[in-house]
Amino acid sequence: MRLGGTDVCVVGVGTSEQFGFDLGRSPMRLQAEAFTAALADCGLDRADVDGFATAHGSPTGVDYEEFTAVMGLDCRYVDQAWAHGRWSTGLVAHASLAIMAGLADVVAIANTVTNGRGYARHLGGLGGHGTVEGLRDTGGGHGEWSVHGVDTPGAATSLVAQRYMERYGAASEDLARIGIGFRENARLNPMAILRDKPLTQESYLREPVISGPFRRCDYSLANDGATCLVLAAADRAADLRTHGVRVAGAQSIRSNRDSYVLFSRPGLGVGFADETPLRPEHHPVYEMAGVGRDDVDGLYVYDSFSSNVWMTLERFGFCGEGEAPGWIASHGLGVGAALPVNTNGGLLSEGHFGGYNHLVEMVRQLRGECGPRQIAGAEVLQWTTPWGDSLIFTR
Amino acid sequence: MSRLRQVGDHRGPAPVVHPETEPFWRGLAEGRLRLQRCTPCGTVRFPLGPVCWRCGSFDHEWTDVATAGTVSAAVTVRRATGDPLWAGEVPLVSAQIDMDSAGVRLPGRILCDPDTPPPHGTPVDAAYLAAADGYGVLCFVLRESSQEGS
Repeated sequence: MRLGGTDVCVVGVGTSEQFGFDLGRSPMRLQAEAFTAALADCGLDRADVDGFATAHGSPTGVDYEEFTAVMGLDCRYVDQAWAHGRWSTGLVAHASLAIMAGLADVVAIANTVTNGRGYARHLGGLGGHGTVEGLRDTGGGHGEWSVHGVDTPGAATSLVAQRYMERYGAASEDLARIGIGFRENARLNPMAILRDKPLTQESYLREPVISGPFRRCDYSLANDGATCLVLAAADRAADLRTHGVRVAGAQSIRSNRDSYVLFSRPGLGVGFADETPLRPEHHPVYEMAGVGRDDVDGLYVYDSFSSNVWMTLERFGFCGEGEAPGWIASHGLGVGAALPVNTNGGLLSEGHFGGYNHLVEMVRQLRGECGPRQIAGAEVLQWTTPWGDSLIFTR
Repeated sequence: MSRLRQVGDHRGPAPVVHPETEPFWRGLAEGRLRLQRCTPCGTVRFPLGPVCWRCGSFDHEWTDVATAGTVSAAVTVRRATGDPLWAGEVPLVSAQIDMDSAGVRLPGRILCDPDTPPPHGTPVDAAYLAAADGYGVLCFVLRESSQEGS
């Protein structure tokens, strides 16, 4: 991305001290830990931060004005999106544009998740209808219809997986390979919540079915923790102790009648639009970053549910229509694969931190800090979602 | 258009009904499957909304549509992980149904054996569950069983 001759880099990353199911720490505490860690990472001070952005506001996270007040920040640029994981690309792209346009010099992007069995049990909840979107005339954005018993993103996405598996002939063993692959990756990540819980085809198939084809391991984790990324212009990054990772390319969420159900992909016929063959799409993120799809050294996918990986691989053309299960079976997902996917363990096994944990991992990979799970020679990493947005970070 | 059968009572969360959408929910309780049809271009639309997605017109009338459809995808929800109101109803089958002539895809439960959710292409007919306040909630029954019942 470039505007006014300026490149933007991620200069600092941090997380809460731990990720876990029940850390006993408030969202504010967790976010303050992540923010402090990210500043320490790059050697900046609170007074250097003049921009702040978040997506995970109350009641599960922290609203921007709470955070700036509690942390003693003085920001001239703030941004807050809706409390969902889907805004990761938008927050990074908008923060980058804000820096390019001179609205801020240093922007911190911080997000916190807590869950009903963790610290959120002490806080106000969202109540019935699963998610607040369950109240809409148009149903929930993942395909929920709370009056019809599909009132969670998981039940809704199980319809996506069901349609895919019937249409293309995929089996439970294919679905299992996704969770197993990311669980294997998690074993190499000390922060991954399920790093010590091996998963096999046998143990996967022994798990009870929750909805449609989905078993527990097809669901991302519900957990507590926080992340922070600090962005600054490339010339500022050059003065810092860390190696700045360039925000090289971005493309937004695509939104139309065929992408209403977020965890489906166009053409599948889930949601409001017709079932069609998968049509090739133009993905400007590659041109903006000056790379091709074959240059990508590692892929990071919003894996809130296992089937998201099928949708994303096909939507971005890493394989053809209906070919994702076979692609995964033959290529694998591990750090040694031709294209490693979610080396952190993903939302399925590291934890669900809205995908911001994937962005933190991408920065650490491009700096070469990932030890046994390091992608050798990583220079180009891509963030993708089933609903079509993407970021490319380069070394 | 054929009338919908009431096949039970709705026990999940109450539908969110407001004046612009009430004809749909009221119609169901009267055994009618009514959707909005655009006056200028004739497109029948779903989800409910004040504007035609195809031509942008606000002009529409509520029209009864054919009640026959086929299963696009159906799943058995075995655990109520959302609203606790569903805890007493699971396992249940919920689906998206391609309506044969209206050209829309509608969501709803299929009242059938939860151990054998019907595959893609299975013929179904619309029905309704009676809800509070004089509203109905759309659901479906397998074509075979609806014939047995008629």
